[in-house]
Amino acid sequence: MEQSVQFTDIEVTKRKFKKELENFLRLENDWRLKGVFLIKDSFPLLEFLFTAPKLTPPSVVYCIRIDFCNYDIEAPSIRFIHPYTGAELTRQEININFWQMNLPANYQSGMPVVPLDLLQGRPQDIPFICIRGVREYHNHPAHTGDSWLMYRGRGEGTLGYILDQLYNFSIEQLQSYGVDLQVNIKYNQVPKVSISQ
Amino acid sequence: MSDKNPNLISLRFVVNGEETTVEHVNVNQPLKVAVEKALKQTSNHARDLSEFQAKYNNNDINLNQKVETFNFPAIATIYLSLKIGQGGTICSIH
Repeated sequence: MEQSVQFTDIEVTKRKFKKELENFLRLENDWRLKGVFLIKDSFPLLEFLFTAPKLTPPSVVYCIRIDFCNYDIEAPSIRFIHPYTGAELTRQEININFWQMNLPANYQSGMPVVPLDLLQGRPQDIPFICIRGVREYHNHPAHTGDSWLMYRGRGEGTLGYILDQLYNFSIEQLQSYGVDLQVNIKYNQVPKVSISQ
Repeated sequence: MSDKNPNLISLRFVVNGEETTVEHVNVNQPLKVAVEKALKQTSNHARDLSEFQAKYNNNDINLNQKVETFNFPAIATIYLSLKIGQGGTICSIH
C-alpha cells in the first residue's frame, strides 16, 4: 500500500480524526443495523466492513480502508481491501457495483438510461470511488477543476458522508442473491469387461 | 411527545452521518421546516435543501408533506444524505 506522507500538523489531523470517529461511534448502532461495522481503528486509518443485512444469509460484501492522513487539508482516501488479509483489491476482485442512475431533464418513461458505476478502474487497476470528498477523485487529472478545497468543511469528505454514500450506492441497492450456473453435459459410461483368453 | 401540546413532537435526524434531534416539531407544518432546523443544528445551513435527499425506513420522502401525514413513531429517524451530482464519469487519463 502506498504510504501517505503527513505534511500538516499531526495534532490537528488527530483532533479532526477523533471527531469523525466520535460521530461514527455515536451512531454505531444505526450503522450496525445497516450492516456497516468498524473493524479497525488505527490513526490515521479506519477500516469498515460492509455487509448485506437484507439478504439471507447475510454476507460480507466488501471492506474498505479510509486514510485520514493530512485531514482535512486533504480529503480522505478510500481503498477496497480484502476483509481477511487487508490486501488492496483490484476492480475485478470487488464483486459489487456502485450504480448511480441520474435521469436527464428531458426524461420520459421508456427512454433507456445507462447507470454509471461510481467505482472507477480497469479490471486490473486499483479502483477509486469517483465522488467529491474522496482524495482520489480530487487528485485525478480529469478533475483538476474540481478542487477539494471548494468542498472542505461543507459536508463532503466527512466520515459520515463517505459511509453514507458508499452504503446508498451499494448495500442499499441489494435486493437478493443471483446465481449463475454453468451446466456441463457428459456421458455416463460403464466400460464393458472382457476377459482375455 | 409534549404533554402540553400533542401537535409538537421531537424528530431525530442523521445528517451526513451526524446525529441531531429537533424538538417542538409542529406536525401541521411541512417536514422541510424541521429539516432546515436539523441542517442548521449540524452546521449544514449553508447548503440548500435541494442538495439533500431524505429517507425514512429506506424510502425517499417528500419534504413538502406535512409531518402528521408520515405518522412517525416516537423514535423515528430521518436520514439526510448529500446528493453527489453526476459522479462516475469515465476518468480517462489520455
